[in-house]
Amino acid sequence: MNDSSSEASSPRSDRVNRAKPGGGQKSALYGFLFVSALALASAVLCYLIRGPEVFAEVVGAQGDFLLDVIPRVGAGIFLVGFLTVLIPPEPIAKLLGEGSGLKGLLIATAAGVATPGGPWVIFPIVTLFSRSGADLGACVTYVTAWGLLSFQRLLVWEIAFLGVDVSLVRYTSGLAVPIVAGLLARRFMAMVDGPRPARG
Amino acid sequence: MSASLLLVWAIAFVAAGAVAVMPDKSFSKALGISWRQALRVTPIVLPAIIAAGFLAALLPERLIAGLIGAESGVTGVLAASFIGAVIPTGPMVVMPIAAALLKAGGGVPQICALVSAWSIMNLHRLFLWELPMLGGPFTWRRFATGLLLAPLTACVAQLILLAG
Repeated sequence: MNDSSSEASSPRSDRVNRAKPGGGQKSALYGFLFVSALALASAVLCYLIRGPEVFAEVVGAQGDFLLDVIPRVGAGIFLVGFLTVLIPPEPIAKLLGEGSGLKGLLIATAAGVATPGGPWVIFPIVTLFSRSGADLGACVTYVTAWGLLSFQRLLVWEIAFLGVDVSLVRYTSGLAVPIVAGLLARRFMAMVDGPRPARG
Repeated sequence: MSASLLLVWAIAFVAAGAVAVMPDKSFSKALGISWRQALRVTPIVLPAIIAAGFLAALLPERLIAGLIGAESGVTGVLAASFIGAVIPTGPMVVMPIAAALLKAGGGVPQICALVSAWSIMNLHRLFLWELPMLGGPFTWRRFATGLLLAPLTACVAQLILLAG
């Protein structure tokens, strides 16, 4: 390992911490402003281009969607608190931490493939991983593996609509992607945050 | 209510029960973490739902099928990746759309690019879930890796088709 633990207060590790899942008050505010602007612009465009009838239809559908989303968001919010307190951080830091190398990315891939459920499950889990010491690369690999290679989605949605042949070509074409994404994220990190101390 | 949602709530309740018997005010600590998460997530989820509905209504379907045909090559792959990134829906809608585009003459590598791009760089999911929960710095870095990799899956798909 290197001496990174001794530079806990350096600018580089401040940037590293900011890049970790969880974000800050500022990015939450920017997110809110951006998404609100997007909502307003798309509403105006929808009314002008598609007319008042389609506009009214969409508003009704959004009400249903909201009722659908609230229990999911609620589940994710509760999960993050209880699991963070419940699960000890040491094994996660060891398996998925900065020094976990390719093995950590493989474990993150397997976890992503096996995790059932939608984004309301996955992103609270990433928050938990990160708080416990998983590095950016492992978190990126986990999200990418869940997105591309989720076994549940392949069985429930993809094969049902696209058929076995096309689904398998699509699935196989993405097999290496989570690992590459994790490696890229680790490289990208090094590029953005300056050179790391050489490893022995 | 879907089965996976019930499962997640069941896990949340079991976890809550386990935390309740832990010492040192663990339960209020957990609720504190959840409360901060709620403050960060809710202000973004609500406008995101509004934006997603209107964006879906603005989607031009016939134009898309023409853009990503079997002969459309790299341009079609890039167009399919873009479409996958901006389609504002979950799997229950995107898979039927992909199937319809496939039947309408979309190429298999292009459809692969569409599904892959939807899987890893979907903007709807990004704004609705990832940005509020994980924050900007993480989200943009992860998105940057997908920008490169989603079109590449189409190349791999093409190679698999040629080999098989």
